Amino acid sequence: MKITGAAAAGSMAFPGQAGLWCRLELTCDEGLAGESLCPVRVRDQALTLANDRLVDRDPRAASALWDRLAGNAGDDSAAAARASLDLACWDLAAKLRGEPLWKTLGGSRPRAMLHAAMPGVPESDDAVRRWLGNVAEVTAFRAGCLALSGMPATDARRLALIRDTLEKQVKPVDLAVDAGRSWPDERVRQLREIERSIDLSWVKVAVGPGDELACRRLVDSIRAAVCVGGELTSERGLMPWLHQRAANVIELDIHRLGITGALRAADAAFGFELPVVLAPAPGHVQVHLAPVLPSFMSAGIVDPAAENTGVFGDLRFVCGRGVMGDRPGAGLVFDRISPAAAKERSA
Amino acid sequence: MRITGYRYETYRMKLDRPIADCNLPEGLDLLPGSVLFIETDEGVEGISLGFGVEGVSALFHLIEGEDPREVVSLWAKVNDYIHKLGNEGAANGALSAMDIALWDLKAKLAEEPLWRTLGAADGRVKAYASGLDYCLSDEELFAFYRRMAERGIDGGKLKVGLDIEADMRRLGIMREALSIASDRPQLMIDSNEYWSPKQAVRFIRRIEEKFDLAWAEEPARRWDYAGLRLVSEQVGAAVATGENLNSVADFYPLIANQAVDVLNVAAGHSGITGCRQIAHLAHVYGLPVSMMNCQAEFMAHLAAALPNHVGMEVVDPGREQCLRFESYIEDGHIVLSDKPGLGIEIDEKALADLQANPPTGRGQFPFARREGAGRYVLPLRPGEVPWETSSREP
Repeated sequence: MKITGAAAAGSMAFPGQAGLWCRLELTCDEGLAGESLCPVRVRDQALTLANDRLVDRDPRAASALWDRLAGNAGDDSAAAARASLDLACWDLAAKLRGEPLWKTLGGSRPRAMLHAAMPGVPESDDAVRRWLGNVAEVTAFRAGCLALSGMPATDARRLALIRDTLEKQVKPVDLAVDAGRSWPDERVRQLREIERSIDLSWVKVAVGPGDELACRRLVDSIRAAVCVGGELTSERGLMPWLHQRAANVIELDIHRLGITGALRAADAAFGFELPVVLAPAPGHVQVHLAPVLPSFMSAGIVDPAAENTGVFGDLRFVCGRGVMGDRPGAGLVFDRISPAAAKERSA
Repeated sequence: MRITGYRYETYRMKLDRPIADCNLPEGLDLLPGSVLFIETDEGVEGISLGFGVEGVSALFHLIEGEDPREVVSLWAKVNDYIHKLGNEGAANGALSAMDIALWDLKAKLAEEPLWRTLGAADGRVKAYASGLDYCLSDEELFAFYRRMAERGIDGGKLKVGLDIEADMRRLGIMREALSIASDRPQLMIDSNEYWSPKQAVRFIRRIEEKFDLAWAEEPARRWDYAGLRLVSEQVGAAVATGENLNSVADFYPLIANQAVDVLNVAAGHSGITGCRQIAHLAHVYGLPVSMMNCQAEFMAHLAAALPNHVGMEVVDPGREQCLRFESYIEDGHIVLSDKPGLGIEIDEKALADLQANPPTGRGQFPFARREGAGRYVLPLRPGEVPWETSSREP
């Protein structure tokens, strides 16, 4: 059983995800295709990588293939390309076994805790209300995450709005914030101000190499747990955060770490007794991992009511949880033409 | 696809040769064995090998009726269940055995070898030889490592601890035996927690005056992260440890405190799922792992799928009387077969024979820690080992 080729087609946008995405396809000699979503900006990189490193390889060797692709990880683009290929390999491996990805990974059907993650900094309180309306209509989320505006009073008011809305359906709820990139010092002061009136569960911060000690100061400065990891491009990058005790929650993004890297990083987080949250992903593919991450806490969902994105996952929302279906592989269904057909049409 | 039942068989096996470390220098040639069978409604059975499966009866209800392919979730379910009393002793033995049998089942149901289910590219794993050789004469020691070297194995681990002069002589014998496989064979020593940290530093430094050691195994107690770190900082060799721990939680203080350089991982580390967690934590920390020995080298399936695995211990004392398998050693590697699951079948007739006619021999496993451990070295008594010692007793 071997991978025979790679192709990409389409152009889709997803709420809360930067840029455009395309459908990546790995074909194999058994007539099946592994599919994933790949940022359009790294499409060519992913196809080159697939042809160089994956063709003629068995897609079921996912762990080994991840390491085989490792030489190209490092910058953000390379990591995104590598992750897209890893996702397609796992999709193919699960399809070859005729089972959903969560089962291939060794999980029982995901009934994952979710957190509603509002995409971007809201323009107004009304924007928060509209988003909450969409969210609450779909299911009773037990947690909500707001991107900070930089104005503590405004942020506290919006968080209270989220809390009060979600608690109409379920109580208690966890409140989280996305503090973005520019968090040291000024952000610390802002977060402490918010904490005077809001009980924050966790604060997500965007970090890079070298931020560990500053982040450790943040851990020591606020009541809420500090969540990092969303920018990791390799599981090995988690080490300084563990070692410096510079995080209380680890966020894993399968579109940077792939499934393989996320599994490894989650095991390491478990060793340090750190909870893991999964970053939102198009098609909600990340929820497949929930039952096999030993310290899984919740999966981010940006817009559960999103339609016409060009791809449909296999997730249902039941009582605030994400329940995966039985479609083989990652369960993605594309409403666009296949890459092969697109190529033919363009020719 | 549902788990419907289980059974286990226990037996005693006589080894082809005795095995020993410095805690029981005269050694033993009898080991307890057990096989756990997990049954399904499709007639496929998963097996696990080892010992200490009696606790399964208290935990089986947690997996009964479940789909064995959901092994990682089942591991978490059992691990959560035992949290109050702890993942230790009988609970750990049962969790480990059940998890291994479920992985065997998962791979069998996919009709593929377990190494493939676990994501490895192939079923080849680098091996090193480990004689558990404290009770072997110098000639037997040479013969064992030469036999391994003839199969391409270029690393060896010697049991040491009670007589440094003799340990150094025997290290030379091991190196000579392995020299047909490599100009610079990898040399390891294992003192099985007999020394205190400072004794370890003194003895290892003396050995290092003459030998380049790849690692020193269990130079201090398994949980003594400060002592292990001290040894790691004060000797040239890497410190390897962990074989007697139970889970990733036990490894956490060692890793977080930089007390270990090579992690010895094993089936008893909460099964394949738990062992993989440890290896992944080590990988994130940039640390290598080494799989401990087991019957028919079945844990090589996991080792093949680990990104940071450096070599699996091969003891080969003859523990496979009731097993049928096709893995072998070639060019210094364990080569696993393409048979589904672990690739091991139980010879039920041979097993029944072992149960009906338990072999007799010497020693009892597990054995006690030797007097003086961590305090003073109790010299070898005359006749305690079949090799020339430098020690004298009044």
